[in-house]
Amino acid sequence: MSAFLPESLAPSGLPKLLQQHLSLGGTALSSAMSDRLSNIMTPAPSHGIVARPSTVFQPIEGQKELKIFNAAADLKIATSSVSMHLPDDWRRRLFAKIDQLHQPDDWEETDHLTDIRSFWTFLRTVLQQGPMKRMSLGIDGNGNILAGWKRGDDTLTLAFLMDDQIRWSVVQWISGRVESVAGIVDLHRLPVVLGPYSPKRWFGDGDNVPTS
Amino acid sequence: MKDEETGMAIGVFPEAFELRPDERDLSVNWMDFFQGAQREQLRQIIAHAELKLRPTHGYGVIEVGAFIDTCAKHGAKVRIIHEQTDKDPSHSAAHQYPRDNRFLFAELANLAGRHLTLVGEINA
Repeated sequence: MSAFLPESLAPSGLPKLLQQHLSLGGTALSSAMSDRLSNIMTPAPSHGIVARPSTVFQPIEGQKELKIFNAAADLKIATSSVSMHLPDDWRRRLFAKIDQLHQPDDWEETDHLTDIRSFWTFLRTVLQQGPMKRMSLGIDGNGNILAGWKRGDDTLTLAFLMDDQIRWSVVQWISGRVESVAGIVDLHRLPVVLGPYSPKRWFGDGDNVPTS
Repeated sequence: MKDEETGMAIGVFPEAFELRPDERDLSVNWMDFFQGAQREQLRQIIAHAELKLRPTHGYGVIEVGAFIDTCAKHGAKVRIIHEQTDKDPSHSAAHQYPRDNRFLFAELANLAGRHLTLVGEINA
């Protein structure tokens, strides 16, 4: 399974983020990054997409920091390709979360790197739902992106799998009793299955979150 | 789960309650093995942990009865057995814990998220 690079990442549309990475200069990280970027900067064919090798499900072995850096860079590159649909502030906060999730000290040699296919499912969900507010991000043991929301004692979690599949769960407390639902759904059906659980409450309401 | 505005830990993802492929039972700690208030018990648990813990790791506290009842509600008759190890005298394990039960994992994660403490808070 390969990830696809949209035409918007061709040289003429090179986002600022990539330019900044290219200008780091001098380090092993920036050199490796330049090599990778020189590959993806090759003009796209007329159909607008080019395949590039995927690094998914690769256990980290050796050069841990470089691999983690590259995994985080892959996510940012993917985000940049749809950045025209995202508010700048939201995208900046997402980048900060990506960096936070890719601190080398938090990764073991045996961990699976973040799966870019999962991240594409996440991004397509963001494009479907709009930039989601007050979202916790995580990565599971298989490299899948996780997102969670807590409103009062209730929780909604989404695990983004490959091919636009989403594992979802809602747990809510009603009159002191807990009610839980869970399942796996195709992205296009997500609004339908979340409909009874007030998606706006989770994705749109950033105010009703406990602060202590 | 971390709140993006405050940076506070606010919950646990259900995936934290999944068994890893090489695990047969869910590892837990028996808090009351250690004396003192909950914070001291957690401090002892962290001190005896066999895992490499980081300040951002967290402990969710669930009463044994609530854990067993929740599992039973979702069709799992778990048995929690105190199985101390050389380093961790409070180590226990939930046997007959299901490998795949999303409803259960989501509910346990919600319960754990209600009483969540970060390692960094205890060691501060």
